[in-house]
Amino acid sequence: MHVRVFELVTFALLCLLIYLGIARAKKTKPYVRPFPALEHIDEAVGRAAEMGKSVHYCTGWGGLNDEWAPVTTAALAIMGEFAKACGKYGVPMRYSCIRSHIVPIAEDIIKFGYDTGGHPEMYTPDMVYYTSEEQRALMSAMMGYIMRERPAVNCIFGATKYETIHSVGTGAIAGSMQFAGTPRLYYLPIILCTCDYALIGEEVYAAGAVVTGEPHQLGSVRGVDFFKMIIIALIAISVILSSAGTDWFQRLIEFVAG
Amino acid sequence: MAVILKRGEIPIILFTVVSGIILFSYFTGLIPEVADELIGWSIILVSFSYILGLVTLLRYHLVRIRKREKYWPYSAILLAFFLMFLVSGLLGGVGGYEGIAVSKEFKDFLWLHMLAPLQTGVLSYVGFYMYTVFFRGARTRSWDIGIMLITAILLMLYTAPIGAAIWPGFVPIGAWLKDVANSGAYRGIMIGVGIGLIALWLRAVLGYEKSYLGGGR
Repeated sequence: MHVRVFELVTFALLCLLIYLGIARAKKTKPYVRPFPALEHIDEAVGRAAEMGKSVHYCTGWGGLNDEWAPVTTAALAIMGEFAKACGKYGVPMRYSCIRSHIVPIAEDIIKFGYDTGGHPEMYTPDMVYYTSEEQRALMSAMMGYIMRERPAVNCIFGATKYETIHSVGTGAIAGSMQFAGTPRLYYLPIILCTCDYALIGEEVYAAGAVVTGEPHQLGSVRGVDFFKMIIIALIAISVILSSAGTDWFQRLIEFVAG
Repeated sequence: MAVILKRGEIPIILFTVVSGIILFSYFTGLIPEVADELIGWSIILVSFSYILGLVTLLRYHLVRIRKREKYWPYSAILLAFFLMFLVSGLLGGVGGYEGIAVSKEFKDFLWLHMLAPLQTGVLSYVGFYMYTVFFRGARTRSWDIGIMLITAILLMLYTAPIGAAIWPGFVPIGAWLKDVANSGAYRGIMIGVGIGLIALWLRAVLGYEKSYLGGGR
């Protein structure tokens, strides 16, 4: 039996700080830096309405039954905002889906978006296109759709793999306005090069909270910031002491971490 | 009973209990068999959703064919190949055994000589696009993206043999970018990702994050 004391204490401390952030947010709504990718959703979907074209969305390879479930959850939250904007401006939406268990959830999110936006009659179940569980099928389906329909807006958020390159690459050729974000760092350079708006790393998780605008959700983001400040302080102390030629702080951390 | 099962609290409680058990097992090392069993359940449960996916796929394409929508012949081709692969998978030979109604040779032809090259072809787009991205799609709107593009070019010259042949200085510059600048940024972002992941889990446990339940919950 191996007890992970250091990890457990760190985890508990982080949860406590997030909880305090949420509790504090109930009194005063915290300020969270606006994300350009979220700020421009309305503008992008409005452009799609003017052009009479669609919005394409994909949450990539990740599902809700694997280690990428949290980021897929955040990507679905962002999709909800796109669906609301599509409902508001009367723009058709298409979601390319590789995980069959996400199909009913995505249908529900998009339907709710069109209901909330004011165009419930526009929603059809075929807005969610299930491509099979095969990654190459998703890639082909996305490339085919983007080149045939040339959507005004192309988005890929979540635990994305190679399909990121296929989506944003084809979107760039088709002239779509592109939004993308993933915590998987291998694909960040291509996203930053080809997309108009991007979410980097942890921003994808935070975006899921920020899009709601609810104080307790924003409070959790503030709680995370407190914890990051502690980590930055620890790194700074470590760098200063290591540069000064002493390693006792490093040994202390190693001792605590076991 | 149906009313109780439809309540939004039920999936949140299930999520909290299951994730709590798995986390408890991870931190304490206790009841690993229970955690493994729960993870196994998720695989079994998801397997049932393949039927849902199959129904969704068939419905989508059959409706397109029936209504003669734009590009409907693609749907007909997809369904024809879907049936062909389904039959070859179910009735084709496996290992050293001959198939019931489809010969092993025909199955191998479909899977190895037809599907595999197509899959490789789709995947090869990655390599092609990675090397031509700067010319085809790069949208250099700000100075920081410009820095990234210069860095990428320096790293390409470091990795490619021709870089050192042009100027030996590309090697130490590329090595520093890869081992120092890149590693530092990578670790920083990964710490942020880990923290963000825990924050999202806590929001889900507290019932604030409900995207995984669908819209309007």
